[in-house]
Amino acid sequence: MGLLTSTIGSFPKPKELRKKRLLFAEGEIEAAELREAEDRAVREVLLLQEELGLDLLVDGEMDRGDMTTFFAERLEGMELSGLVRSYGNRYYRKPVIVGDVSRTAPMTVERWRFARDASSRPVKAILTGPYTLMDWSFDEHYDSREACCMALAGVVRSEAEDLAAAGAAEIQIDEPAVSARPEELALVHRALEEVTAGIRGRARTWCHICYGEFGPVMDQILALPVDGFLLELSNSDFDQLDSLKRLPEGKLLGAGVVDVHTHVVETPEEVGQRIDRVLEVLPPERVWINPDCGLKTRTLDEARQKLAAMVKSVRAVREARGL
Amino acid sequence: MIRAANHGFYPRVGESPLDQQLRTILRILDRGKVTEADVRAVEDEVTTIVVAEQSRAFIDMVTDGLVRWEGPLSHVARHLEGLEAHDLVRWFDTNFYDRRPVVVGPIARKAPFLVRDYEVASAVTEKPVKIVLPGPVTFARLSRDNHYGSLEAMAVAVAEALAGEVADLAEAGARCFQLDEPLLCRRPEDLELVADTAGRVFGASGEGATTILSTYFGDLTALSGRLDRLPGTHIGLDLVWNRSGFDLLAQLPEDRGVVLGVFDSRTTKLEDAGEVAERMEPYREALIKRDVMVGPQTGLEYLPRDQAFDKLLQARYLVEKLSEEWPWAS
Repeated sequence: MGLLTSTIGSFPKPKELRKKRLLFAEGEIEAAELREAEDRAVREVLLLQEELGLDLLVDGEMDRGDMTTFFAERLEGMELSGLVRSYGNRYYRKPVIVGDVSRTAPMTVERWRFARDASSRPVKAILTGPYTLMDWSFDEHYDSREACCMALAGVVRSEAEDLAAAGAAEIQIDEPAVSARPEELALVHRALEEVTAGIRGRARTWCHICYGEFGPVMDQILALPVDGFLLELSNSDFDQLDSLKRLPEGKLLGAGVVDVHTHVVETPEEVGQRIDRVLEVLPPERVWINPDCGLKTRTLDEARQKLAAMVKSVRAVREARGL
Repeated sequence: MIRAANHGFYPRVGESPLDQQLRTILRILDRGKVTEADVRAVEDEVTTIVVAEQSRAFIDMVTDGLVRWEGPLSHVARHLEGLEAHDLVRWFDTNFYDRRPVVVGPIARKAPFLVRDYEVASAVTEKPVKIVLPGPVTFARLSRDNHYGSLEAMAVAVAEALAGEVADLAEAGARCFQLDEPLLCRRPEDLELVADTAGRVFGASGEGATTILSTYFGDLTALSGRLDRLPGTHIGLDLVWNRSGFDLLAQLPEDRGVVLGVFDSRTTKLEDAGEVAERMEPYREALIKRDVMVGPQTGLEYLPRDQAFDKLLQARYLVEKLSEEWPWAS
């Protein structure tokens, strides 16, 4: 059929959950009470995706504050810094690597199982990739970026293997930092090879990449050892579209056709035009449809409306093309 | 002479609720519950706080922390005619993102947009307050040009607009100006365009002003033999990126001041001022003849506020150490 739909991972957290997270951080409630609120939020966001008609669901990352912080809080050798701005008025607690990183227990498997059991459709597992974990942390321990990145790759590999063993058939590895230092793309490749080698044949692997200067290194990015790429395209006005003609045979594209960094909700017609642009360079059977990035920056209403426009436009394009 | 200088950005948010007032009110503004004037008042207060923090670190040349800036490009883009701020782009190798400027028409200044910031900062300190501006060429290279059709034309237009702002700032009393041209390190072919556009901007700063052409996230090795082409009373070098970049000092005219970025703005790991002084020792002769400023390699936006403060304090310690040991001409 082609043009299957999914999202990148995060959804806006309900007000009740935000409040519980704050109370938990202040020591006012127990972990179990926070977990109940997370469970409710995951069920709600799964239901929303089912009602909208998405094909591959996510748990909305209701237990994650930030894509690096979440893992730093669970790994040995990592701590959290004070607040650092990521853009505009958004801040996060950047990880600090203070010792050898290691995993004492699976970090995401139990929550993935919960979402799978709460949904009637397949649920994607999502991990932050080793290069981004390294690049988005302050490293006070390792002698080199390479040593740090490969240590993290070992940790992410173990997590991916546990997810695959639990039955996760779709595993997304987020690497938004991939273009940080073009001269390090070989390191990104090695690190992702380390992660995906352990699950090859057992799970389909996706790499999500967004917001960077990809032009000079796009071909190297598209050669990374994963089965598909989930790319932000709309926010950057499809400036990498031409290079996607060179997507290696056998690899898939998840096309970002909804901008998550604007309050403006696209119409289905606008989204449809974006999908048509993608289909000018790749056949529909190689294309998935998704927003540019996680939806947590939007209100729940905006997220719902943007996804509704996306799904509606996909149906229209499928119909128009007889898919 | 040797002084300690902040580079530009200083974290506008700290750990306590009081230190997060700007973050809070911007969220409320997003929901339409406060006015722009309410936000301006908080920005003014935060400016006084970050200037005070720099003073507490005994920094000789402070900035307003650029606390009103959403990012290094978009803040200027939002204040110039002909520019809009669009998609998110990563700011070099940091995990800080800004909105990419898009040129939609002739670039021109609508009104002074940094003068008030300067006045707020300078009202609470006796120290010189440095004005930081994006370099026209880096700005043009990182923008999407839908109007001019050439890098040169756009960079010159940006330079002319910034020159107008610099003239107004000079009129208001500003005596130190910095242009950030980090892309020059990666684009040595831009040397003449940087020289031309920076010259236009600095030309508006008035007699006797300190003008710094700052480079970072790279080095100027590729410009070896041509460094004298760069305008400004001072050249800013990133000696974290290239620890042997001191070698370039020999190529600079002796009357050219230098701003040495010797503290890493991108890691919480704190350098020891004594070790930095040892790294500088072999270059004593090349340095003591000049006006020297030391500090972080770039803005401190990428660090938590406590660590940013610590970096500045180390810069002060470095100045003290070198002042004791080196025979600086007064």
